[in-house]
This record gives sequence, C-alpha cells and structure tokens, in this order.
Amino acid sequence: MRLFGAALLWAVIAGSTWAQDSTDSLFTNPEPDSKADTTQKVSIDPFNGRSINFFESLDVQGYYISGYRQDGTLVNTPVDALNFGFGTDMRLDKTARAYASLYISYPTQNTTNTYLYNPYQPEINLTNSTLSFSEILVKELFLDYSLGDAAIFRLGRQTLSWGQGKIFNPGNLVQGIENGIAAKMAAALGPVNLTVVAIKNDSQYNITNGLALDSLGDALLLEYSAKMFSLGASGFYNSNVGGKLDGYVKTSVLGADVFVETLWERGTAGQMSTTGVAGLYREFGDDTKWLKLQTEWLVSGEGSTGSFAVVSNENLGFSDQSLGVAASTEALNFMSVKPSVAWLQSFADGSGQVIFGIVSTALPHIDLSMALTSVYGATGSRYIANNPDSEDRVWSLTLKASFNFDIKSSDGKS
Amino acid sequence: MRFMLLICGFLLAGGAFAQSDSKAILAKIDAQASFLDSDFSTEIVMTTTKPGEGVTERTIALFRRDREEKYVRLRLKPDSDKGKGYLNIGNNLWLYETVPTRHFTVTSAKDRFQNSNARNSDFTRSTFAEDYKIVSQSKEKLGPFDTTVLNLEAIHDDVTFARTKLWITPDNLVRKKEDYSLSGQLLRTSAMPSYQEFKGRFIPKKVTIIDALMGKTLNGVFRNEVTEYSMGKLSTDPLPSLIFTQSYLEKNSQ
Repeated sequence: MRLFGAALLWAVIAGSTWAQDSTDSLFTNPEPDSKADTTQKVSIDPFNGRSINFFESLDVQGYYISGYRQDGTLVNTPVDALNFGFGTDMRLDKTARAYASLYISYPTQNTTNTYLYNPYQPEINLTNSTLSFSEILVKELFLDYSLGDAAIFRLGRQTLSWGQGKIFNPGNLVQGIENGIAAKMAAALGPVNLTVVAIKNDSQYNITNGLALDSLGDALLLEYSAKMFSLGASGFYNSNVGGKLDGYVKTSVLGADVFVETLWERGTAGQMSTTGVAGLYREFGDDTKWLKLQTEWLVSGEGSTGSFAVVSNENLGFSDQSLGVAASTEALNFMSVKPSVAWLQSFADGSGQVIFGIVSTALPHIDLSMALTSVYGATGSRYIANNPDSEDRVWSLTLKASFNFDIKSSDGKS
Repeated sequence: MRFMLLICGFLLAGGAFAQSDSKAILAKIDAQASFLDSDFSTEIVMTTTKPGEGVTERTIALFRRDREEKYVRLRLKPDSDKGKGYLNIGNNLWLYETVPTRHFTVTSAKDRFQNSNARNSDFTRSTFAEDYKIVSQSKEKLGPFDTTVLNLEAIHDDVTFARTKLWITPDNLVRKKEDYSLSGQLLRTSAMPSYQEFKGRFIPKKVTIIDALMGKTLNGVFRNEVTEYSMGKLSTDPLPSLIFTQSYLEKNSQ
C-alpha cells in the first residue's frame, strides 16, 4: 500500500514536471554556436528623424459622494466631470522637439493633477452648476533641445517632481513648476547627474513685480547612484521667499527600499526650520505581490500651517510628527480588482484620515471604484481644517465610474 | 575529544573550500556574459505568447555599463510605446511614466518586464557568483550537450529567484535554467541552446522562457505562457554617460 502510494506520488510529481517543461525539444537539434554579426549597432536616438504625433484623450467621470459632517449633517453630492485633452509631439531631428498638451474641462477645474491617497483630487468644483466648460488650458507646452551628448534642455511649461516621499514629500523643491514656466538643464558630470531649473511662477513666490531676474526660483539637484545606495543633494533659492537645502540617502535593507531625507529652510526674515522624512517600501510575494506596503514618518519643525508652504514661516521645534501608511495587493488581480488602504496620522494634534479604496478594471475603458473615507480629529486640527473633501464630510462613501480612452496617431496614421 | 576537533576542522576546511570553489565556478559563468571592460548595446526582439490571447511583439534597445551596474532599456516598437524606458542603477530601478502626469516610479527589479515572462534582472550583467552558492551538482545529458547541473541557493534577499538550477556546458555557458521560489515551486524554465560569440563573450542567439505559473487551460490542457527573445546589433562602442540618466528617459518619452 505504501509502495503504491509512493509510486502514485512519483507519477504525479514527474507528470507535473513534464507537463510544465517543454524546452527539451529545443535541444534535439540546436543551431551550432557561431560568430556574431557585427555589421550593425542600435542607435542611441530612437527619434532621429522628422516626426509628428497627435494625441487625444477623453475622460468622463461620474461620482456619488454620501456622508456626514462633524455636526451629523448628511450631505449627498452627485458630480459629473469631463476632461478632453489634445496635443502634438513634433520632433525635427534628434536634437529638437516641441510638445504641446492642452485640455478643456467641465466643470472648470483648477488642476489636472491626481493625488494617490485622495479620492477628492482633482478638486471638485461644486459652485459651477451650469453647463460651463473651461477655456483651452495649457497642461504642458515646451521645447526640448539636446546639446550633443553633453546636456538636455527643456524650456516652457513642464511638470517635474523632486523628493523621495510618496506620502509626505517636503523635498519637492520645484513644487508649483507645473503652474509656471521653467528652463531646465540636465547633464551627467561623470557618475553624478546634475539638474538645474529656473522657475517663473509669481503667485507661487508672492511676487508682484515679476519682470526682474530675481523673481525666478532657482533650483539645483545633484544625484549619485551606486550598487546599494542612491544619494542626492538639492537646493532652492528665491529672493522673495528664501532658500532650502535638501539631502537624501536611499538604500535597500532586507528587500525593502528605505530612504531618509532632511530639509533645511531659511525664510527671508531669517526664520529657520528643519524637516525630516523617512520611509520604506516593501513588496511581499514571489510572483503575485500579495502585499505592497509603503510607510513614511515625517518630523517637521514647520508647524501645521507651514509644512506645505513654499518656505516655512514658523518653527515648532519638531513637535509636528506624522505617520503615513499605505498598502495594496495584487492578490485579486485575477478578478481585475485592486483594493488599497491609506492611513495618515498627525501626532501633533491627533487628527488623521483613513481611506479604504477598491478599483475594478474588469470592463474595457471603464474604471469602477469605491472609497470609504474617515477624517477625524478636534475642530481646527490639521486633517479637519484641511479636509480634502470640499463639503467637510468626516465619514463618506464615494462611488465613482470613469470612462477614458487615449488615441495617438503618427504622421496621420493611427 | 581531539579526534572530534580534528573531524570538525576537516569539515570546516572542506566547507570553506567548497564555498570558494563554488564562487570560482560561478565567476567563470558570469565572465562569459559580462562586459566589465567596455559598454555594451544590443537590440532585443521579443515575442510573448499568451494562450488564448495571441502574440505580442516588442523591440527594445538595451544599453549596459556593467562596470557601474547601469542599464537602460528603451522600447522601440510598437510605435505606440516607442521611447518608454527603464533606468537601472545597482538596486535602483526607475520607470518613466507620462500618464496621468510625468513622473518616475521606482519599481522592483524582480518584477516582470513589460507584462512578459522575462524579468528586469534578465537584462543586467550575470552575477551568479555574487548572489548564489552551489548546494549540489550532477552530470546530465541535455540533447547533444554534456552538462553539469548546478543547484544554486541565494545568499541574500536582493535576488529575483531564491533558488536556481543551471545546466552548464564545459565552455561555462548556461544552456538551460530553472528558477524556483523559496518554497521550491518551479516559476519558469529558460532555454539557451545556441550562442553567438562576440568580442570574447557569448550572447544567446535566442532565449525561450516558459512560465510555469502563467498560462491558460485550453481544451482541458494547461498551456504555459512563453516569451522568446533574440539579441542582435551587438556593439561595445562607448556610450555617452547621459544615456544612464533619468533625463535621457524623459527626453525620449512621448
């Protein structure tokens, strides 16, 4: 009986191995080894000729948000939104490129940016109840120029983000660049990557007379990466708001990406503050990632009002500490469903927010999502005062359906 | 007591020898496929067959600076993906995305490459000697090849596969490879029956990867997903340092 069992087990194991491995046929009569053909090589410029691309996108969204304010009032909000984007990407040769991305939205929105842990972004404009579309707005409009293999320049309205934090990102010294115009240069200095940016954004830097050269926000980033470490140092200065210095170290510990970043700020009145953020990102699972975990800890001397300002205007002596945890899983990918959870907690005033979200991508072009959000804390605390919901609900359920598609065409062919 | 100490001494010495011997064998395998004295570039033509879903074709430019562990992969075809790229420096991997906004995401080097059965780590230099130790070996005939079969175990966590099995011919070329999870689950099988010699190194003419887990049951039979790729347009000409930067990916993105 035992022998029969062992034989059966062997047959099952051997059978499964044979079923999975069918590479043996590749070795029955393999092509002999030979010398390589060295007459051709791959170009480092994939776009080395004249080309013009057109692209269009349509994003239609319907929301229904239902929830309670802190005083117990029930507020239900149906919202619809439409965003039509279009543009061109023209390349003259391998050195020059012009890019334009424009959009029209309904209802009129201030931003097209999306925020990973906030279902209310982009901000929903509830005051505009009539059928009113925005003017044609510029998302990006820039010119690229490559100076041989030495440097790459980009001039115009562009998007860019620095800093290591995904939940808290005080190291983004170029914040606001997407609403201004900027000149950027990138070059490799041996093993060090150099990026220099000059940003023109008067409202960001509280500038009234914007013609002077010192109205620009100037930023510089140096980065170096080796096997285990990635190091970076960056700086920012604007004569009207002050300066910042930032440094980070990123490495890998026990399979987790870990970073530590420190930011020093000095305002024009001489006030100084220091902010630190540390985080880790770890994926669990061999093939299917059953858990993706992101955790960040923010220690800020800026106070609750200064943390997200261009340059802080107060120093609370590291009393402002916050924790952010975000997790998602691929375990339900086979059902085209992705659940996630995010928790932000401010230890300075005990406020916070928790968001459970689930997105289904089972239908082509259509995303169906649901988010359960809780915002808690005393009146006037950080997350209550800065409630991401413009209706100030502290408990809410958001149901959302969005339809979207993108089309690109090259030289008139789609 | 002395006898026991002597036995322990012999065992420890034997273990140390086996470890250094293991490293030397794996270093020879690595040397056949690494370009530590020059840059390396190639064009990869890849097809992925998903049962019941059809065949996906891609062409990728691969730029390698092995001595600094810097790698760039840039999609050339299909046209809709042209210019999308990955930058790999050491353990750091950046992917430049343009939707919904332009930003770099850091992804795991262990991840699948572009929804294929290849992994990001397949396109970096060979590092068996740094990542694995040999736990057993045997002899096996593989078609016309007399091979040594090496069973390897990872010596740290920063590897794509915890266990790997290699079929090595006497010229130190890997002809077949099986990758396993820590629990011993077969994840994929790769076959490299033929090589092309290039500047004293050896590059597979074609790599066939059979995914042991991904696939679909059709007509009652489980069909595995299969990815095949070949490497052409080989070159060791020096590459500009600017290629191995995030700005290069940004410049070429659409």
